[in-house]
Amino acid sequence: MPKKATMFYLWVVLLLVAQSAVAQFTAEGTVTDAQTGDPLVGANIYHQDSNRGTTTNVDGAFVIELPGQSATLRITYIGYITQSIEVSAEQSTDLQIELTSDIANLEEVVVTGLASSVKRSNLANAVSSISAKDISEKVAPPTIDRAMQGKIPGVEIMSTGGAPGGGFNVQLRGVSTLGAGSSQPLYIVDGVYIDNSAIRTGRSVVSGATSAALTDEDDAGVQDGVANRLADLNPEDIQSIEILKGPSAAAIYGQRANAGVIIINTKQGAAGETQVSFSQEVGFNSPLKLLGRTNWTEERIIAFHDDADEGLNAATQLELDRFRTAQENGTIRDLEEVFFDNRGVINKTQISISGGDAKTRFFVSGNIDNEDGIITNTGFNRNSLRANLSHSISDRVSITSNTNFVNTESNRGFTGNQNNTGGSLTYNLASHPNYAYGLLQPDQLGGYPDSPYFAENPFRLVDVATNDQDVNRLLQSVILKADLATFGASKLSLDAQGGFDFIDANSIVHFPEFMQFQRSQSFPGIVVHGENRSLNTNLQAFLVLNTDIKSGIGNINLTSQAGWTRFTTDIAASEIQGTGLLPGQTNTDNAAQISTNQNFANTTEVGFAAQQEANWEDRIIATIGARFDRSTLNLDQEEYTLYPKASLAINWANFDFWNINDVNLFKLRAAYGETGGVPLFGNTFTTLGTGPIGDRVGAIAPVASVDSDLKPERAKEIELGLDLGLFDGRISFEGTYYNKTVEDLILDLEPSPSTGLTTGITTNAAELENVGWEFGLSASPILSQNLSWNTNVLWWTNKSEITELVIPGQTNQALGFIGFGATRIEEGVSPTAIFGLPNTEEDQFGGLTKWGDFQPDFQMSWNNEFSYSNFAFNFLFHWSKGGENLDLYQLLLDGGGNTDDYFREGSTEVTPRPGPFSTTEYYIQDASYIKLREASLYYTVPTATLQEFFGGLVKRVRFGVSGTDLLMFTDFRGYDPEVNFEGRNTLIRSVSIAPYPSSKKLLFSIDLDF
Amino acid sequence: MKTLKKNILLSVVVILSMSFSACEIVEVDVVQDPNRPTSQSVLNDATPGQIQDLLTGLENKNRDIIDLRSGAYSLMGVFGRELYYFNSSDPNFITAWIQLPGSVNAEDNSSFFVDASMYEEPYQAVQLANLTLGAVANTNQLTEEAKSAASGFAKTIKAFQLLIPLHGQYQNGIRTEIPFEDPFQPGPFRSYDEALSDIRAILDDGAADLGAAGSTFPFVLTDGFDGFETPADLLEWNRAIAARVAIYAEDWGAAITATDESFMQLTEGESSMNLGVYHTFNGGNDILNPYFFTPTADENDLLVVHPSMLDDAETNDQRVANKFFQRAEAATNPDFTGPAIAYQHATFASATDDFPMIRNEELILIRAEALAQRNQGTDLTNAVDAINIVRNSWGLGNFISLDQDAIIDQVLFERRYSLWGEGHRWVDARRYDRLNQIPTNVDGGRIPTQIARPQGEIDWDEFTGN
Repeated sequence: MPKKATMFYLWVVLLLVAQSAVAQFTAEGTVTDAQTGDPLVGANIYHQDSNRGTTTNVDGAFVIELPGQSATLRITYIGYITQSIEVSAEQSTDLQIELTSDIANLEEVVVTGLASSVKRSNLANAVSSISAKDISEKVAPPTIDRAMQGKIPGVEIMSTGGAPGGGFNVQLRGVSTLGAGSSQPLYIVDGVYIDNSAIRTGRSVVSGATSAALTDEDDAGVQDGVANRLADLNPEDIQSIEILKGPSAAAIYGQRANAGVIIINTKQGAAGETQVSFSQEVGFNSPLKLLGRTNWTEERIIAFHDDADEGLNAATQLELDRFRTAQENGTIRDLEEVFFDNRGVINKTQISISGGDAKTRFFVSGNIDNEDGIITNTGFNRNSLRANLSHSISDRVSITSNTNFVNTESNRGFTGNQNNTGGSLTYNLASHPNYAYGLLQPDQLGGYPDSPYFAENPFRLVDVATNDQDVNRLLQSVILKADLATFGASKLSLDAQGGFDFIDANSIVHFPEFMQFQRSQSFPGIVVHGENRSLNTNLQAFLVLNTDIKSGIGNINLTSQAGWTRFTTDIAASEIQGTGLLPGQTNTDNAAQISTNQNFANTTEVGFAAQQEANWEDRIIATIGARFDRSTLNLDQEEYTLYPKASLAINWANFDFWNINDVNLFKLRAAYGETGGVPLFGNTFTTLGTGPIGDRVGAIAPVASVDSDLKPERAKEIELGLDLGLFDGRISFEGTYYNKTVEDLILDLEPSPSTGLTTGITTNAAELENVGWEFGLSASPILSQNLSWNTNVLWWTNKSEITELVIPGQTNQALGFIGFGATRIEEGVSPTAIFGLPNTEEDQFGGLTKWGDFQPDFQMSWNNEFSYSNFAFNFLFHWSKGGENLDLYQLLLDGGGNTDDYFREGSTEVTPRPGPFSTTEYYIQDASYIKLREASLYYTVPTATLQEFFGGLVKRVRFGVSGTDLLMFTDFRGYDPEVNFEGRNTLIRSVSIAPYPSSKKLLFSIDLDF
Repeated sequence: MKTLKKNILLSVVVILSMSFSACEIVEVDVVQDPNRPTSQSVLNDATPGQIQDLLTGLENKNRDIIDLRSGAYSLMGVFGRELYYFNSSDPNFITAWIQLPGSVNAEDNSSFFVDASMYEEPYQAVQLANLTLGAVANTNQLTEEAKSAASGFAKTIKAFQLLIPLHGQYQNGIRTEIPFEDPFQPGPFRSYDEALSDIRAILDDGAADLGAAGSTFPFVLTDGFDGFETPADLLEWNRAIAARVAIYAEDWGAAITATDESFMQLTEGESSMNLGVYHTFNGGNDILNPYFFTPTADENDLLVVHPSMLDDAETNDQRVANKFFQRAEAATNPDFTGPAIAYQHATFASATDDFPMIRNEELILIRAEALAQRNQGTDLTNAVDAINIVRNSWGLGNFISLDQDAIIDQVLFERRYSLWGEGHRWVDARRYDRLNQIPTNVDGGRIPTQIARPQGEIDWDEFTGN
């Protein structure tokens, strides 16, 4: 059926539902905070029967025209408990409505279906959410994933390094795949499945770290250290983030939801006076930690370089000469401080304008973020423009359009692993003694001398090598809601959404021909130009039927929904590499050798979903649902797979027999759900290779095959919980236990070698289990007009174990040498456990010793908010305890004798260390840490003062200072225990190889509302 | 009025929902791999172009045995002490291949050090042949003659490639039937004799196909098949390989018949000797012949000639001059305990020279051997005549004998020189139970009979409980 016809039917529906009413009266009043008496600006007043609404103005006042003689108004305001009041034509003026703040967030609305949501107090799942206040208003994070750190129980976040703009590995509730599917949660922004891929630049190819193919979709094997594309979203535009951590909550998202779902909603305008907000932040990045370096002395140089006692060898003599020259010239510098101990300037400007009337509302924002890294010539710039519009076509039909254009530029420089090229600053420094500083300085003509210590002069690397990525992105969503019909106590409505996410990413990685390593190549100079275009589209339409059944035992509200979804992706990526470049040229037309690399991927998915919810007077809330999904990523592209769910919540405190007045909420909940994990694109194809011979090229047999019964991976989760609210929500507790199993995990089986399938047969081979506990305790010990204190403690733990493996065990090495550490896929073993050398008596799996586990024993966070008069103070501590990780950087530092403790204090005696090539003990590190994630202090200028100075022009002025990662306490010897050299590896989670050092941020801000 | 409105509404909703299911938006087009051809795509009504690609691919995989210096013919050359492989970056090319004391016997070493060309790669060629046969069977875009042509070619390559793992595995036997569609069900291990008869059956099948392929071969082959451009020519190539396998099976009569049906020419001269089918090397996008060495090439990665080849040579044998080059400096290797080696591999004049798959010289010697073994009527005289065609071609005088054993000895001697470096001597010595005659005094190693079954096969059988 053509789309035009669809539109026509739609309009017929819209016209038919238009109605009008006759008798009217006017209600007027004000809405205030019950605690402070302050007016609440922008509170919603809504009359359900006539579908009319308005919002309060700057004085908290509202006026609303109502039909008939009496009405029930519902007053809602974010962060406050909803109130309903009766008004009549007689009692309709000077209504004084006081709202109590919703400390335990019981009123918050949480998504439970594709077209429905429930109040948190009725929720049967532990769905975590973060509101705008915690996303960006206290401490402005550079990216959204960063804003989740320490605020969500059940999440573990690793970064690729400290470069501005991030690059994160977000793992919800343990392990969701062993690598065949996406390990990252599904991100949905205003209904659109966004592309959160880590688009490679080819840096690791140029630096020699890896030679991974362009097809590596999930960045698991690539060491490019790029940002994941969530970095394009401006955190200041976000209204709320909801995290569906496991299948029990995310089942309605079907085959995309094994790794969890993160739902992001952007800010919308509210009816009322137009509000203009301006905020400016200025600050800087500085290193979180410096490792320190060897203080070389002549004795130490002799001890390090001379291997015999037959007098000084030539190499030692040369080093001594260099050292003495540097001493004479005063050119001994701590090279770590020279390169890393810098202030990277941060500059953020945000303007938003929002407002509207009863029919049309808008939120328009513009944002410029500039953040320089601590390494010279690195940084992250984001320019974002957003227009969110919503319009009520009639009382019954509304349409919302959210549009966001973003331009993001990352200059990441060169850190991390490298191979022979010298193409990593951090790696490079490991080989340079501090007395090499003078040798590395440019000559009078500005040319850099070659480094006698490594394949490149680090100053030249920073100065002339390029690694830039430029992304242009357009996100658009349209949401149509229509009340189709009312039948007595039933209401039928339509919820349709659609949208797209378009990314055009361009990157350039360039080593000019005059660099040290390049000059030794047959074709000096290398450039890689990358382009990645991707388009995601979403369409979804649901019919929702809401019915109230009055019965002897009370009111039962039934919500039924059924609908259809469609999701497509289309990716075209290409890389052009040129070597043998003409001086100063980066266009590959000037290259002696050119090679290209292309990759295309496209996917279509269709799903049908239905769900039934029943709510008996907020006492018992039950839901069952099912989703049928098909995807062209599955081997059987036409088969629909079923993903069911069911949940039950019982609010004991809402029963009549409940007589403990201080306990307002006592909820027991249970939820079960199943989700899927589709294979990555290309994994189900048995691809023919190419084989040239003579002057022809032929097709050769595949070296990998796919089990003809291959099914998508499937996660099943049961979640049980207890939620408590005491003393009107002054104290609340949430406790959750979950058991998430993942079945049909896809692995490569090594077949009989006579099949010629040297890569293996892709097959469903394993099952794993994640068991975890999540606890949250919130309290408001002080809540008075002048002083308030809210505190919040989260604690969570997860244990993963492979419970079944039907193929022989497999070892995943972090790098080429088993002693650098590995994980093992084996029944009864944690998939994130770290194995390595030596061969001990208690050998496991052919000579491996277990050294630890990448997953921590537990994590804990403590958040505090104080407000006193016009001051607000906030801090968040995050503690991760008991995990291990691998530090390979020390091997490099020790190799150059440049580790801080290479020599024992004040001596020439080398500090003894285990290994390094006989035991993994050398690399294994306790990754426990405590970080002060966030701290902020704000002062809001009193309204009276503003009146005095600006009249009514300026409504709010706030000054503040905020910091991120200001403190870190850890025994980890490297820069940051939370980094990983391989972006989003779900098993090898944290291996540190010469990373970009992490930084702490300090920002000064001013916010103005007009 | 209200009811009517409701009904209209309801019907609109129903129509709308129905329209969704009827619309294209629930239809999903099956996604094919946009980046590379897939086996699914060629197995479903392949175009002539796709079949052509598979045949070219078969030529490519057929060449894997010699695409690296570390490949099958080098190993078999070392086992037969035709040559040594000096590779300074890995001592195993000396210790494991020569089987120096302290190294595990190849017969017992399931992880024996050898590249994939001894096992996995030949099987990849076999799998590609199977895929080609499947593609041919499932297409309507080819004439029956064209289908026969493609099948006959694929079966001949498949049989030729199965010989490689069989040479290595010998009495362990090999799998000869591996269904492409179901890699979970590789066929059983067939004993050496069973495998030989399986291979001969595949060759006979291929011959039948080529016989039914009409007068022109509708696909393009590389320069390696120069002179073998029609189905009739290719049938002669198929029979040449059948003759080789027949002497392995000691089916002397069949070997003689096969040589008759092959491209064998009983004429003298270098060009007659070298007539045959080759693996081609082109350079450019293609690789170069790895067995080409510049004079006195770098000794770190070099094939050198076993001294016995020079010690045992007759004077003025042009094969010696053609194939062996005396280096300016003898070559050494840190792990090789024998003397420095004076001669290096010099069969090829350039890096784009083709490497023989099967040549007339071998066919003449196969015929000589089979005649001598059959020993009926004038067989011995004919065998000696055949031997002398080869000898005269290389500037050597006639061999004269009517003693069956002496003739067979002479055939094996000629094969040492005529087929040097082409993977024969170790197999020949094993056929005649003469492995103990291969000299090990130079290097202090031993001559293995076969290589242990690969660990991957043992693992697979353990995993599947076979």
